[in-house]
Amino acid sequence: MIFYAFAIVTVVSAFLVVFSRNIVHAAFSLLFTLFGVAGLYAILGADFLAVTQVVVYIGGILVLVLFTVMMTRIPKGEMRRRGLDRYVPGGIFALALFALLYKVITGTDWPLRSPGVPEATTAEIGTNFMTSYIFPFEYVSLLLLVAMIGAAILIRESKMKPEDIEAARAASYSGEEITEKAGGETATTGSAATENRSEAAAEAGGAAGSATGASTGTGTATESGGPAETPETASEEEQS
Amino acid sequence: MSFGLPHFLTVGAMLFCLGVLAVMTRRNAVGLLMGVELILNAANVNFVAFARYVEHGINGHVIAAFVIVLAAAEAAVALAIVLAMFRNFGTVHVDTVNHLKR
Repeated sequence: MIFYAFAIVTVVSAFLVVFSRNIVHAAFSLLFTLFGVAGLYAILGADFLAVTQVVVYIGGILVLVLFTVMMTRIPKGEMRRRGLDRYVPGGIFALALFALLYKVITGTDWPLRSPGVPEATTAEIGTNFMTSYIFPFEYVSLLLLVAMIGAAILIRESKMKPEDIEAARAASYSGEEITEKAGGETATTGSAATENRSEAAAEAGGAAGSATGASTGTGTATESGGPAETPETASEEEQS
Repeated sequence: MSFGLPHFLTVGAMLFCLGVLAVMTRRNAVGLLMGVELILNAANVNFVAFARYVEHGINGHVIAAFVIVLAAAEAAVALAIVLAMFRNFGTVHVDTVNHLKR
């Protein structure tokens, strides 16, 4: 009975993770999914893993995800619905995959043994870490070091000022609106418009505001830390 | 209502398919990461279920612990990449960050 409760919580909140439009709602649904999986671990007699799941996933990864969501928040008006062109192929593929997996699960004659009473696993896991799995254990510790250094380097320096980020974002979203409105016309004139924009950007003293092609509809600042697109260039894009 | 190995495997399969669906449909890079977390959790459920019902050992638990550690490292690096992407491009939508395609 308690298994079904945990399973339903896990699967339903996983559905919400996938289908909710607001990324914050998805992150909070992921919280319940991870709790549900921790409950499944507990039912399966994996006490150490259940606690680790709560501590590492919910206390670590989910907090990281929520911080990233907050720091990369896109305004609510710019949150766009994912169209059927994304849901249909993904849904068909996922359903086919589930059908295949379910057929394998039910069709295979698993070499089952009676589970017996669950015992405490922590000491045995620790012994295995230090004996049979000593090489993966050391390798994972090295990997954690590499990940820590990599993350620190990746977020170290800021090349753009906040207002430049705002300008680049505004250009990005206005470009997408142009694409959606004008459709094929921008696709044909897209390359010319790109050249014009890059020339204008070069004339602006090596300014980094190279607009992207209208077909993809992004306008972002490139490297070299130059001044990003000013609002004037953004409005020019809309005219072209 | 009894349950056994197939029930846990079915829950794992559902989680896996939902994770794949999230990776295929989401445009937000953080949403993609959530899909990857779902996939890793599905694999972990399978590991622990097999460890209880088939193998009767501790190996599945050890591997699942390794998977959790890898997920933590992956999340840290990937979220740093997402932050860098947001700083340099002003967006976290993965289909608008395609400078290499042009």
